[in-house]
Order: sequence, then C-alpha cells, then structure tokens
Amino acid sequence: MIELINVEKHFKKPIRGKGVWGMVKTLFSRKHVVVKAVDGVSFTVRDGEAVGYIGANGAGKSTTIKMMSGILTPTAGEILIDGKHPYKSKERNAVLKNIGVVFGQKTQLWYDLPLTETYELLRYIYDVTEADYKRRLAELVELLDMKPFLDAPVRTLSLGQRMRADLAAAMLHNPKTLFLDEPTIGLDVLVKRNLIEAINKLRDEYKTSLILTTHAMSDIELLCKRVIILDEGKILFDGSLDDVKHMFGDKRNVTIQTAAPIDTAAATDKYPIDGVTAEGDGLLTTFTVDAQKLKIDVLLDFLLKTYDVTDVKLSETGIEQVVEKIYERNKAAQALDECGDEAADAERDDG
Amino acid sequence: MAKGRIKRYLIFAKAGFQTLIAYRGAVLLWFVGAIIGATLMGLLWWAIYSFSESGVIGGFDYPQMLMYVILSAAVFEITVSSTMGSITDDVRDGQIGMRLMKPISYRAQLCFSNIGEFAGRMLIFGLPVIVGGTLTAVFGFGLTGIKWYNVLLFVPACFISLLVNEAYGFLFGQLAFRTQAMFGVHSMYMTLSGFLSGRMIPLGVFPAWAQTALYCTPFPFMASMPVRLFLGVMSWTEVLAGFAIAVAWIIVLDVIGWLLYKTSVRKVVVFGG
Repeated sequence: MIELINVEKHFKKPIRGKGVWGMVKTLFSRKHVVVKAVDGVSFTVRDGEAVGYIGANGAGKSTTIKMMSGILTPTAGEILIDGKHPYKSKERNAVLKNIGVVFGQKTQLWYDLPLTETYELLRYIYDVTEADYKRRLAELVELLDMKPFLDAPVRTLSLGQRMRADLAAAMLHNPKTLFLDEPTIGLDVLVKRNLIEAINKLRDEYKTSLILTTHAMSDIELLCKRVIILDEGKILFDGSLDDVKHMFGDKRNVTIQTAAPIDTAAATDKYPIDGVTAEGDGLLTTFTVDAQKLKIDVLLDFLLKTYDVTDVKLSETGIEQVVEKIYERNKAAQALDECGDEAADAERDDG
Repeated sequence: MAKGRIKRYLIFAKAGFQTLIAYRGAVLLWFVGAIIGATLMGLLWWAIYSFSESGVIGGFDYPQMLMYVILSAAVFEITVSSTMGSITDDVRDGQIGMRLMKPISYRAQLCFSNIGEFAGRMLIFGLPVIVGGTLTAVFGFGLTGIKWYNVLLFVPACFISLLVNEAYGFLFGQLAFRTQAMFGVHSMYMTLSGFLSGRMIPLGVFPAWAQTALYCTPFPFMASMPVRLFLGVMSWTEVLAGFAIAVAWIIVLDVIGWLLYKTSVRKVVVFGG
C-alpha cells in the first residue's frame, strides 16, 4: 500500500535578472524564490489499484513520483510504501526492490549492450532467481513481442521497441508497484494500443499496483478506474474516472474544415451541442459535444450532409480543459460557501 | 548472501568490458591514436636528447625515455576512468534518476564498470602495445634493466592506478551536479592529472623539492610510479612507500567523494521531469 501524508516538496530557484546586466548581477546574487512543486498532497493507493495521476506540465506529477521512488526527499510530510520510507537510506533498497519504473522520456536499459545482457544485469540488481528470471523473461518476451530484437543493442531499437523493452525491464523482478510516467509519449497509435494492452495483461497476471502519469486521457481511460488530478502541486480532484465523466460529461471535439465559413445554427438548433468555435477565417469549425448525450456518428453524418466538408478531425477533451473545469467548479463551490457563511453570520447577528 | 552481492557488482564489471568492445571502430582508433601520440613523443625526446651532452635527462637515458613514453601512453589508456564522463552524461541527460532508482549503489556501479573496462583495456590494448614497445626498446634501442618481477608488479600497480583515477574522476564528477560547464572542468581534470602524474613530462625533470611534494600526492601513481616500477629504476622502499601512499589516497579521495556525493544527490534538478 502507498500512503502520502501531507507531502510537500520545495525548491529554491535563483531570481534571474533581465538582460546582460541582470545576468551579471545574478552571478553575484544569492537571492532566490521558494517554489512549492508539491504542496500538501495526501492520498492512499491500495494493493493492486490503478491510479491515473494527471495534471498540466509543471503540476508536480514527476516530483511526486521521484519522491515515491526514493530519488527526492520530501520537504515536509511522509511517504510510506508498505510501511517503509523510500527516501530513508536504511529502508530505501527494500522499497526499491518492489518498485518498477518506466519513464517515457528516459530509459533504464544499457545503451551499448544487447537487451538480453541488460536483463541479465537487472536480474542480479534485483536478486531474481534464475528459474524466476527465465520464466518471467519468456512470458514478457511473448507478451510484448520482443523476440525479433532481443539480441539487438539497445541503441538500435526504435522508440516503440525501446518502450516495450523498458516495460519488460520494469516488470522483470515482479514489482508490487509500477510507476509509469508518460509511457506512450511519441508512440504511434498501433504501438500505443499494443503497449496499453500489454500493461493491462501484466496487471491482471501479477496484480501490480499502477500509478500512471500522462497527458493522454485515452491512456487513463484504458488503464485506470481512479484519477487524481494535480495542479500547481495541489490535489484538485481524487475520485473515480466515472465521476470525472459524470461531472464534465464525455466531451469530444469534432472539427470540420469547409471551403467557406458556415452558419452553425442548423446544427446547434437540431442537436445538444455544448459549444462551437471557429478558427482560420471561419474555415475550421469545432463542435464540442457530450458523447454520452449525442452520438458522434450521428453528428458527423449530419455535418457531412449539411456542409461542404473537406476535412474532419476528432479529438477528446484535453487535461488542461478538465483542470480548467475543475477550477471553475471549485471556485463556484467556494463562492457558494462564502455566501452561506455570510448568510449564517447575518442570521447570528440578527439573532 | 555476500557471494550474491559480489556477483551483483561483478556483473557491472562484465557490462563495462562489453561496453568497451561494443564499437570496433573505436578500438581501432584507440590503437592508432595512442601509437601516433607515443611515436611523436619519442621523436620529440629524440630531438631533445640530441642537444644533451650527457645523454641523460631526468635520470633516464634515451632507450629508457622511449620506454617511458610508450609505457606512460599505455598506462593512461589502460587506467583512464570513465567515471567523470558517465556522471556528466547521466546528469545532463537526466538519466541520473533512473540510476538512483536502482537498489544498488551508484558509486559501486561506476567503479565496477571501470574495473571491467580496465580488464578489457589491459588485454586488448595494454598487452600488445607494452610487449611491442618493450621489444622495440630492447632490441631496437638497447634498453636494459627490465626484470620479470617488475613486469609482474606492473599489473597490480596499474590496477591501483585505475582506482586512484576512478576516485579522482568521481570527485571531479560531483561538479556535474553543480555546473553545466563540464567541458572546462574536464580540461582542468585532464591537464592537472597529465602534468602532475608525469604523463606529459617525467617527474625526474622537475626540481627536487617539487618531486618530493608531488610524491606525497595521488598524482604520480596515475603514470610515473607504474612506469618507473616497470623500468626497474625504483628501490624496494620506494615501491612499498608508493603503494602505501596510493592506497591511503584512494581511501581519502573516496571518503571526500562520498561526502560530496551525499550533498550532490540533493541537488538533482527536478523541474521538467
């Protein structure tokens, strides 16, 4: 079980002056600001649970993962993984032996060695018995379809192959917890789908807890039932993915390109459309709809028949939009609370 | 348990060896570069000796100086440490996080990788160059005084030299956590060790007081001591004192490096993943 109790991480950032003179002054100045990368984060992840840990860039996701995996020490608060602190030198190795990490933009493989040699190294690092190693490697090779490049040096692998190899490296010692930090970044649709399928199969087989950070809502949808949304180091939302969908709807964007600007009233009058935006001199029109209220194929069929459409693009609501919505909701709730407090005070005064 | 732990680290030595021989072109260039360097230094000293009336400079006659030049080039190639470069790369590329997430000491990973590379360098490069160089100096230039026990002692001396280089590299590597200007740091690291170890110029040409001071530092064991040991120009007392000083410096450099490292890892920058 993973427990984070009021965790904070602060960093000192030097104040940099503007222009050449400002830079010279910075050389001799020790002035700095304290940045709260993580600010009072608390949550618990049960054994076998899969959690999507999401937020915009700089929200503090990777910093939290680095603290959970023992690289960084919290400025305040406590992190316990199965009752042990990952950042305390005496407990660190015991925690790290039960953790697997995949960073989409980094690798834990040895660049110049063939994959098999890297896995052999990891076998010794994590004290995996030979029998377990052989069995698990065979399973991973089959599941992740790694046979064709198992003897190739890591430097020759494609990004998709490297990600599969990294996932296998993270699972080789059968960790209780797997941290995935943007594992699908830069992958094409097919490779991404295969990787996600493999992660799900591995989780089913080994009952591994999963903490996933990503910018792709589709990854979260396919891997996690619970979502923690972080912004500026604070938790904005912690609940089920269904709750997020229920609150904001399953929002999708349908963008059409037309030869000339269009009158969108025909569509908005007929269907429950949440929003319409036009860009590119009115030639690019985006309809935002709730997929649970209006089927995308129905809307598409109507748009294609009604307008002179030259191109179509479908996209889902981005994390930034979700965070924005949560902010709006929280602000509204706060304003309501303040009104309630004022009313209660007035009532007390009257009384 | 202890056996398993040793095996864990030895596997890094094996990986170091394999990494060393991963690029055939690099191995070839390595030979060519070292041979060109030693040949040019040999010719330079030939010119210098032609102006010497006594035929002895820094306590060496020309055949000894030629052997010194070949051996110091070989010792450098065999015992050079990749530690500082590895730390710089890991910090710059952000890979340091992945290394620190392993339940194994980062310091030990680096050290044992170097030991593996050392074994590879000794076998692939050291053996042919030293044998070839010795045969050239003995039969081509009349070098005398090389004893079998000195040649045998040369191997552990090179190993100690590697450990000194490794600890020295780890110490300088800590700067990678503090500055981006590692190119300058690397130049300083190479120039200091090259000059003070006797790799560029034999320490025998330095003033007596400078020699006395230098032999109390870790630098001579990086080049001068193993080479002089091989040439048979050191007394047994000097050999024993040299080994003792080198081992003491390895311990001191490791302790300082470890203390600095403790503060370095706290500086791991986290913004931007």
